[in-house]
Formats: sequence, structure tokens, C-alpha cells
Amino acid sequence: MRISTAQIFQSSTRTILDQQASISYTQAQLGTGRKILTPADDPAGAAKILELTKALSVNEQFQRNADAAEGRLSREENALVGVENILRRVSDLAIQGNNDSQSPGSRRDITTELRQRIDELIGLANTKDANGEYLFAGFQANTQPFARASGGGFSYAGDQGQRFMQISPSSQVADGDSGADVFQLIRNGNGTFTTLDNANNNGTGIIDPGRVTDNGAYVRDTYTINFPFQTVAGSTLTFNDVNANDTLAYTLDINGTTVYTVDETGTPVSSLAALAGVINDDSGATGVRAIVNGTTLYLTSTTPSTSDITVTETLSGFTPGDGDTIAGYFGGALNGDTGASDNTVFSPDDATVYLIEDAAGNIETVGAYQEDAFINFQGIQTLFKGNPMNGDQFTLSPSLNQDLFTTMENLVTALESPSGLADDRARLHNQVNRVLADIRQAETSLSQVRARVGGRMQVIEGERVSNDAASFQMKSVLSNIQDLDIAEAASRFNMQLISLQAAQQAFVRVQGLNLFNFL
Amino acid sequence: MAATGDVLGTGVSALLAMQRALTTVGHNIANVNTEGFNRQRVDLGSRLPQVAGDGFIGQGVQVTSVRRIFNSFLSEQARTTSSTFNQLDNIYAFASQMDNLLADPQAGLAPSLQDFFNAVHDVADDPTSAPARQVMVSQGNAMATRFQFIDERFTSLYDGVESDMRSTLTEVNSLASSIAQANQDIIIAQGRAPGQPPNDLLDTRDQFISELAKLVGVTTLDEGGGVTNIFIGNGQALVVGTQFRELEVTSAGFDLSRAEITFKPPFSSGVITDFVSGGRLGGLVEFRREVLDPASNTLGRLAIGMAATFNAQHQLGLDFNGAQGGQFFNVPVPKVFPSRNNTSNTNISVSISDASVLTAADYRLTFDGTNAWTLTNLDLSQTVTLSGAGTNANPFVGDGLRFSVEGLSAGAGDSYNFLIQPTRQAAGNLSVAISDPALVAAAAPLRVTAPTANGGNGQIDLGAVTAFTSLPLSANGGAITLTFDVSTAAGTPAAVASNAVSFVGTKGTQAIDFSGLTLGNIDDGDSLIIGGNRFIVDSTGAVADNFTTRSYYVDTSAVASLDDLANAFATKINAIDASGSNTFTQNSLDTIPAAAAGVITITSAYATSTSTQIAVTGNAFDTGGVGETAGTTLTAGTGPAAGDIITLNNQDFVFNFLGSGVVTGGAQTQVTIADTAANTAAAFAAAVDPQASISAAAVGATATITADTAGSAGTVLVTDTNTVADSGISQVVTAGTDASGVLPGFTVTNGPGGTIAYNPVTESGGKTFTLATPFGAISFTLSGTPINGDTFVISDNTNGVGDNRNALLLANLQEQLTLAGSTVTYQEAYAQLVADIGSQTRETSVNRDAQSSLLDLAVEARDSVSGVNLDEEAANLLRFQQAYQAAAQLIAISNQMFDELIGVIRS
Repeated sequence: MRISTAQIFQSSTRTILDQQASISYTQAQLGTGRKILTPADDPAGAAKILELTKALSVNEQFQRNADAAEGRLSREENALVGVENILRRVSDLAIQGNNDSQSPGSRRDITTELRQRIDELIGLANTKDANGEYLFAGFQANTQPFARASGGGFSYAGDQGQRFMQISPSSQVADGDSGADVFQLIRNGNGTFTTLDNANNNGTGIIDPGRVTDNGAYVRDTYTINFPFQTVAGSTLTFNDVNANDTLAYTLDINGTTVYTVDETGTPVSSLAALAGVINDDSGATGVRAIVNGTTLYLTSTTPSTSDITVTETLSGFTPGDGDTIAGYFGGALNGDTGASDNTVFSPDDATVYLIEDAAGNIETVGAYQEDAFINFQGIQTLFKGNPMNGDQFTLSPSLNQDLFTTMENLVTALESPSGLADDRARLHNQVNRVLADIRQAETSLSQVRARVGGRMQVIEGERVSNDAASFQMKSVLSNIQDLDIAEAASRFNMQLISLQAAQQAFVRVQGLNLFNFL
Repeated sequence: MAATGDVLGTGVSALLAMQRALTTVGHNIANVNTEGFNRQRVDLGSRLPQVAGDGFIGQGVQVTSVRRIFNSFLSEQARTTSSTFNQLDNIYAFASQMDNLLADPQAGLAPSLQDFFNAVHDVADDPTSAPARQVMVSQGNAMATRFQFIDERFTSLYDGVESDMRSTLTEVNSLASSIAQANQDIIIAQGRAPGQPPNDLLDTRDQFISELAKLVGVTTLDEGGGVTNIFIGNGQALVVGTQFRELEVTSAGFDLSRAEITFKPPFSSGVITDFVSGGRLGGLVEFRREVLDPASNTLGRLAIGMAATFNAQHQLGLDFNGAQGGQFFNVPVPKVFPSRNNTSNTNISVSISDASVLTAADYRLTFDGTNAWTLTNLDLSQTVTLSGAGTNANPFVGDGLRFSVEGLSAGAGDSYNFLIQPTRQAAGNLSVAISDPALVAAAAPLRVTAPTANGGNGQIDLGAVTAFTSLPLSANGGAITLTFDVSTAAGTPAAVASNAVSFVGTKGTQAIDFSGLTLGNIDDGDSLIIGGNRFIVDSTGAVADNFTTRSYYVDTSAVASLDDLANAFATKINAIDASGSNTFTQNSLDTIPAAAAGVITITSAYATSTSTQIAVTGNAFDTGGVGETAGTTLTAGTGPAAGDIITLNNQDFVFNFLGSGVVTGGAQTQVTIADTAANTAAAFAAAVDPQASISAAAVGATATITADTAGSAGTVLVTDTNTVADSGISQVVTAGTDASGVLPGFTVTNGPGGTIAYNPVTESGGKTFTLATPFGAISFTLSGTPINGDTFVISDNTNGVGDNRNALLLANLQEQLTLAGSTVTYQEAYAQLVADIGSQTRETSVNRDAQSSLLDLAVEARDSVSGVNLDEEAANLLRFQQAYQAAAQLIAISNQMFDELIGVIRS
């Protein structure tokens, strides 16, 4: 094949230029340490590099988010520890104040310290974090959450919001708890029900906060423990109209008010339930109500009272001399001639019998009262110390939420109440016992909150570790794609240099050959 | 016999011929480095011989022609390959500029996208921090600036393309002129020496054409007569004969800023840009169309998509001042270019309707002259379906765009054509709309509270708000309260059938009708509600009544028919009415029946003081048993005893007096009827058969029916005209076959109202609800076990400056598949752009290298035929030189021959 002279030069020059271009490219790679100089070198690789760089940056951001969350959580932890310490001290003060050896003066010292503790607690509840935001205000971070309300009690100006931080692509962790969660949503009593003594009780009965022994049997309701008088009332009224010439009449009075009257032409009530019914129809006027359990009729005052209950049965409408009689419900043997009326007086004293009703008036259980003996009904167990009096009432009602500050204020109120008389002392003990039960609930609730906080910090730690591992993994993949293999590039560079030298020498040789040299 | 002159003549001819040959060799040697030179050869031919008797005598040699060694096929091939190579070379030159721009990790978009979203995360970490918000706004600005920077580089590439076009066209024009001139020269030259090719002129013209081919792809046509015509594009003539046309850059298209190629007047024929291919010019056109335009559109789509989706989420939040978030970014608007040929100058309006389905294509909106508008996707050359009517209120919507042609009033015969570029160079118009850091909307609009008074352990979790309709709540009815009710109207009580128990109230007779029921559908828990009292089916007969919740259990253990069921209910209702419990009074049952005209009803089985009853005294009549219906005959002898109750079922009771037998008149034929309800004016009236009379009675009094005549038969119809206003029945019962009984749930106060069914027994694991319109943007999940009366309150998130829910959602937008029909994230879209440019550049580079090798081969092939080889020419020099010397010698010999001849003659 023919080659023109121009072609000879052309092809040699071309080879040398190509070699130079390759060398220059390898030089650029060696200089920057990167395999990919422009996306054209490896388009898929370039896209992957962008992805990985973004993922690494996002990972770093997650670490920053985790740091922010951790900061707030440890602040919260500190505050909660402070609250727990206060509670422990208050508990000690309560037990101290409950002791009968205390005097009003010494109790006053206790309440002074209690008041300071309450203020301290309010201060803790209004803790701010490093950025000046309130920790326990929910979403309203610039509003002070807790303060004393003007009419008494405590107000919460925050909400129940909870803020979350993104600490990994798939997990968010809360960075705090709202003031409501920590300080307000605490059940009182024993968590299921709370015990309350009637403020007018006259006995010295002290009720135990109690517990639920059988969740399946427990029915949520308000139960009343009464200490009534047991009567011997029966359900029959018998007229004995000798000579059948009269219309005998029977009158039943309680505490001076006639509750029932019937004559022999009428139909007297024939069941204890009915008898109780007629008595209860007038309980507003008499202040006495009747409770029937099976074949026993009990009488109790509608509110605790030290007054006697007088039951009077009277026979009337008889012809004197006939010897007419009525056998009354309450066992009164009324005789027109010998005694037309009969009184039964019930005087309040240490109770011998307790009777427990639910809110509808259904009777749960009845028993003989014994100090320190368990009382069980409907899955509930409680007991009494001391001696309740007839007419006293205690209620067990379902637990509601009660905030911590109110609990502590209740203790102050209890310790400042009179303690001169035996029933006053019993009242004080009942109140303090209630506060102690409430405090135990608060301690349980707080430890649950602390456990949650601890759990979150563990989650953060775990995510930090796995984020680090992911970061490391991504960096090594990135390096594989992006970084130059120096050994390979250096040897390639050497080889290209040799090729260039060879091409140059060949060119020199060939271009020197020309026929005109020999002419 | 040879003449001496013959030898001389032959010698001279050879001399002259060799002289030509040497001249030609010398010409070749001189032009060894001339571009486009085709080596020439002298064609030698022997002269015509002389005819003599002894044969033909040769007369020597002559030059027939000087010819160039030229292969038109190889030359053509080299030219077309060069066109393609130059096209690829130019594309690569521009594409690698874009490639380098995007490669730079500092100048690229990815780092500033990342910095922006990191700043959003920092706001989520601490929404009340003013510095964090300020950083977010600043990073937003930095990111917008980076978008603008890249867009500016793209713009400068557009400018580069335009200026390269201009300078290339100048060269093309001058070459066209030269070719036309060459055509002219060749025609003249051929005229001067017909039959002989004007080699050098031909070479020159071929060289011009080769140069032109580097600039633009050309097609040549040899017209014959020495003229070559040049065509470009798809048949546009550039040079025809000695005439040529010039090209220029104009903006004759829709977009006045875009450079287009067209012929200069007076030959302007419209834009031919897209027809041009090959050469540097073709490279420019193709680069702009295939690489730069799509890249600009894709970048614009990313800018619009990110701005629109970010704005959408931002507007679902509240800023630091508690107001609804506004736009964070100013979203770039689509470009619209009307055609100059449109019937009127009114423009249409175009906006983005859904950034997530935007494509990177350009569109054309045309009116067909009758009544239809068509939208065409220019990338795919496909029509896009449009919804809507094109008015401002109901615009056309398609491919994420919204069009309104209102105001254009296009009618028959009108022609409209609009070019729409939704995303072209949109990135340059991205900017941040806010400067006050307080306007960053980090908080969510609602929050939920479970009041501390709640006794149960129900929980509520609020979902993310999906729209801002009906918000803030304070302007739309106030905070929404959900109150848990163990029985709500959301549940339908079981209806009853047959043998109704009637209750009469001010609203007229309310019949509780059991007849429509199927006994098998009546389950435990089905109930009848009367005035707040609930009578519940209990097949065990063991469940205790609950007076607190007013739930009373009807023992249905012995019920075998609907009649039995009705009676069981009636019995229970009666029992409750007079239970005698000292905490429950009868008045709490609101269904004290009153008699309406013609009806007496008895409800109570007890002779208590406030219920209606009929007490029959005396025993003159025999009812045959309690529960008689009208028309029953009372027969004497076994009459009712005092205290017996006769139950009337909504009908009049007829006492039939029988004659004969032991019926005697007087007191013992009295039936005393007493309506002892504490009611308003009562009166008994009776339609009395002559044999009996009845006395009228007032409230609380008794009426006496007296048989007039002993032994007579008759009927007494007793009616109680007493009407009583009672409190009526508050629950209207409808018949039905509901078997599910009472459903517990929440009543909704404010908001959409109504009720939400929620059964803690089966659904306490969690159930999600969305409120009814127009509050459908609010959703929540309820779980746990609330008790009756527990509430949850959904309210505006007033003062919630520590809330970061919206900031979290904004930060997480970068992980959502938000663009291109919800298939890619922001960074993925950008990475795709980079990869696209990279692979296009790579592809071009590879093709260019391949084409370069092809070009080398083609040039080699051509030069192997027509290139000058110095060694070959040197050999030719020697050859012709020897021949010349030999020819000179011939002349010398001829001279000697002549001298000999003359010498002989002289002496």
C-alpha cells in the first residue's frame, strides 16, 4: 500500500500526542489521589459518591441531634433526682408528724419545713435547660409551667406535648416529658382506690389505704363503710283486736317523727325491705336510715352523729280494757292496757358491726368489727385500727389524678389541723396516712418516668454506636469508589512513559530516511 | 527512408514531453505539504505515425494530458468522516465543560442542599433558638444562590453556543462564497482549454469543500460542466452554480433569547436549526438540544420541585408568632412564549399544580381552530390529557401544570400556539421568601390534652395535619372535645317487637314495638333505653343491676318468643319502678305513664303511692285472671279479690255485668276504679249500658260502677279521660334488626360533631380515626380503656414555641420520594443529573475517539492514492531526467547526421 510523505509524519505525530494525553491524565490522577476526575470517568460511580457523601453528612447530623437530646435528658434526670430527694424527705416528715408524741408546736416546725420543700419542688418543676427553655412545659417552652393559683391549689400553664429528635433514619426519641406527665398524672390512694374518712366521724377509727387482692373481682365503684346499729326488727306486724270492735292502729316513730302508721284494716308492710322503705322515706326528717341485709334490719344515722336513735312504737285506737295488743316490728309488745308504746334507744358507742354498700346501695358485705382484722370484699382488702363509732362513715372511691404539690399541701393541712381530742387525732392520722399512700404512688410514678428517661438515653447510645458503624462502612465504600490505587497508577504511569519514549525514538529514526539524502 | 527532420522532430517531442513531465514532478515535490493537493501525473502518448511504404514511422511522444490522481469516493469518505468527527469533537468540548462544573465538590449543588437540611434539623433540635432559625434562613439563601450559580454557568454555555454559532457561520459564509467563485473560475478555465481538467482549481475547490465539511455536514452534487452544488441540512441549497446563500443567527423562534440559524434575507425561509447536522455547527445544535436543554430543565425541575414541596409542608405549620407558615421559597414560574402568529396578543397563565409530577420536557399548547386545546409533550411527542375547562376557576390540569385560557376567547378560525417551558432555567429564579427567622414554621398547628380529671387509662395520639382547612380551630368552632360515653347514639339499641309495652307522653303514644325483630338477633347487651335508663338483655339472669349507670338487666333465660321478650321487659321495667331501694326513687324513671283519651295503662305491680293502678275492690266480678283484654267477660263468683290488679294493654276495659246467678246489686256489685297517679284533672266517663252506671271521680277518688239491676247483663266501658303531661319518653326507638347492641364511643363536641364508635373491649390496642369534612385533615389514634365521662381535647397549639413537629417533617423531606412522579429524593434527582451529564460526556468522548480512528484511516486511504511521496517523486525525477538526457542526445545525433549530410554536399 502506498503511503504519502505527509502521512508518515502524521501518524508518528498522532501516536506521540496520544501518549502524551494518557500520561497527562495519569499524572492528574496521581496528583489528586482520585480515581474519578470528572463524572464522565465513571458516571455511575460519580452518582454513588454523591449519595454516600450525603448519607455521611446526614449521619453526622443525627449525631448532633442525639447530642442535643442527651443534653436535655440528663438535665431532666437531674431534676427528677432532686424531686425524688424532696419526696423522700417529705415522707420522713410525714411519718414524723404522724407520731402521737408530737405537739402542735413541733408539728408547726415540720410544716414550716414542708412549706419550704413545696417551694423547692415548684422551683424544680420550673427548671430550664441550657437554652433557657422550660423542661416541663410541654410545647410552651417559654412559659413558666407551674405556679400557685390565686384561689389556692396549683396551676399548670404548659401542655402535654412531647418533642422528638430524629437520631437515625428510622428512629425518633423523645427529649423530655411534659409537666403533666411528671407532676400531675399521678393516681392517688393505692393507685386503684383511695380511702376517705368522713370529716364528722366521732370515733377513733383509722383506715388502712388498702389494696386490691383480686383484679378480676374488683368493680370500679364508690363504696361506703358504715357502722350501723343492728336491730332485732322483724317483718311482721300482728294486730290482736280482742272483741274485734276496734280499729287498732300502729304508729312507728323514729326520733320523734312518725314514719309509718297503719291500722288493722289496712295492709301493713310485710317485708323488711318494705319496712326499710317506709323508714327511708322519711330519713330526711329523722336523720336515720335503714339498711336491710337478708333478715336483719340495721339503723344508722345519715351523717355521723353522736345522738341517740330512738325508735318508738305506739298502739292506738284500742278500747281500754279489751286487752288489745300489737306485736310491733321492733319487738315492741304493745298492750293497750299495760303499755301502749315501746321505745328502743340506740346510743352511739364503739361499733360492733360494719356494713359496706356500693354507690347504688347494694350491700357488699357485713361483719363483726374487729381492730386489725382484714376486711375483704369485691377483691378489695382493708383494715381498721382504733375504734370507730356507730354512725361513722368511711368511703373507698376510685383513684383519680392528683398533682404532687397538692399532695404535699394536704400534708401541711393535715399537720395543722387540731389534734387535741381523740377523734381529731384519728382524723389527723387518717389524713397523713392518705398522704403517705399518695407519696408512695408519686414515687412509683417518678421512678417510671426516670426509667423512661434512662431507656431513651440507652436508645440514643445504641443508635450512636450503630450510626458510627454505618459511617465507617460508608466511608470505606466511598474510598473504594473514589480513591486511586497508587500502585496501579504508578506502574501504569511508568509503562506510558516507556511507550512515549519508544514512539519518539521511532519517529526520529524514520524521518531521517529520505531518497534525496542519496542523490 | 527516414528524414533527418524526423529524428529531430522525435527528439524534440521527447524533450518537450520530458520537460513537461519533470515540471509536473517538480510541481508535486513543491506541493508535498500543500493541504488538499492531489498529485498530478503527465499522461504521455505516442504521436500519430507517418505512413510510408515500408511501414508506419513513429513520430515520437506527446503529452496528452496532465491529470490529477484523485479518487472521489475516498475523498468523499474522508470528508464525511471529518464532518462527524468535528461534530463529536465540538459536543465533547462543551459537554466536558458541564461535566467539570458538576464534578467540582465545592461548586456543585449537593453540599449546599445538605447544609440546608442540616440547618433544618438544627431548628428541630431547638425551635426557640433564634440563631438556629437564622442559620436555616441563611443556608436557604446560600442554597438558592448555588442554584443560581449553576444556572448562570448554564446560561454562559448557551451564550458560548451562540457565539460559536456566529463565528462558524461567518466562516461558512466565506467558504460558500469561495466555492461559488471557484465554480466560476473552473467554468472559465474549462472554456479556455476544453477537455483538460483544471487540476489546481479543482483541488482548491475540493479543499474549500473539505473545510466546509468540518464546519457543517454537506452534500455535494456534481452538476456537470465543472459545477459542484453544495447542500446542507436536509436539502437546503448553499451554493448553486456560481450563486451562494449566506446564513445568519437570528431569534426567529418562540424564545427571543435563543439563537437560531436561518438564511439571510432575501432568502429567509424560516428556522433551519434543527435540520443542520454534522460539523461543528451540527455539534453545537445537537449539544444544545440533547445535553444543555435537558440539563437545564432537570435542574429547573429540581429547583421548582424542592421549593414547592418544601413550601407545602411549611404551610402546614405554625411560625414563632403562632401564625400559619407562609411560603419559605419563591417558586420559579414556568415560561410561556406565544407564537407571533397568534390571533391575539393576550397571554395565557401557567402555574405549577403538582411539583411532584413535573417532567423535564417542554410543551406546546395549541388551539385547533374549532374548540379544543391540545397539550403536547415535546420530548415524547405525545399528547397529554387535560382535565378541567381552562377557566380561572377550573383550569386545565395536566402533567403537574395548570393553565388558564380565560380572557383569550378563542373561537372558530383562531389560531393559537404557545411554547411552554415549565422548568427551563427555573433554577435561576429560586429564592427564599422570608428574611425574619421568626417566620420559620417549626411547630404543628394542633395539640391534644388528656385532662387530669380522666379516671380511665385511655390515650390519644394526634396524627400529622394534612391540610390547613378548618384551622385554626379557634375560628372554626373552637377546640374539639371527645367525650367517652359507654353508650352513645352511635350504637343502635335493639328494637323490640310484638306485644308492646306502651308509654304515653306529650309527644303522643310511643309504642315500643317488638314485632319487627328476630329473636335470634337478640343478644346479651342489646338494650332498650327509656329516658336515660337502660334495660339490657341478660340471658344468664345473673348480672346485677347498676343504679349508678342506670343499667338494668332483663332476665331472658326463659324467653322463647317475642311475646316472652316483651313481657320480660315489661316485668323488669315494672320492678325497677318500685324496687323500694332507698337510694332509688321512682321519679327517676321518667316514664310515668299518663292516660290519654281512651287508654288506661298500668305500669306498676306495686301498690305504691305514685303509680297508676287499678285496684279492684269487691269480689263481684270474675276477671278470670290478671291480664284481661277488652271484651273479657267477668263472671260472678270467682271475681277479683281486693288488691288484684287488672292489666290493661292499651285498650278499654269492659266490665260485663252478667245477669242471673249470684250477682246481687248494691255494694257488692261495685267495682272501684282508682286512678291514683298524681296527675292533673281526672275524670272517669263511662259509656254505660242502661244496666249500669258509673259515677264520675276526681283525682285520687274512686269511681264506682254500679249495676243497676240485679241480675241484668250489660257492659260498662270505662275510660279515663285523664291526660297527664309527663316528661315523655326521651329515647325514640326504631325497629330494626341490630344485633350488636349498644356501642360505646366518643361524642364529638364542636368540629364536625357526631359520634365516633370505639369499643375498649376489642379496640384498646389502637384505632385510627379521621374527622368528618370539613375537618378531614385531622386524624388521631385512640387506644387504652377510658371510662365513662373521660375526655380528650384537641386544640390549637397556641404558644407552643418548643414544638418541633413541623420542623422534623421539613427535615425529613430530604428522605421522601418527592420528585418525578414520587420516585426520587432531591439529592437523588441531582445525582441523576450529574450521572446523565457524565455518561453523555463519556459516550461522546468514546465516540469521538472511535471517529478519530476512522478519520485517520479514511485520510490514509485517500492519501495513499493522491498523496505525494517524495521518494517516489525522486525516482520519477531520475527517470524523466534520464529520458530527457537521452532525448537531448537524440537531437545531438540528429544534428550530427545533418552536419554529415551537409559536409558531403559541400565538398
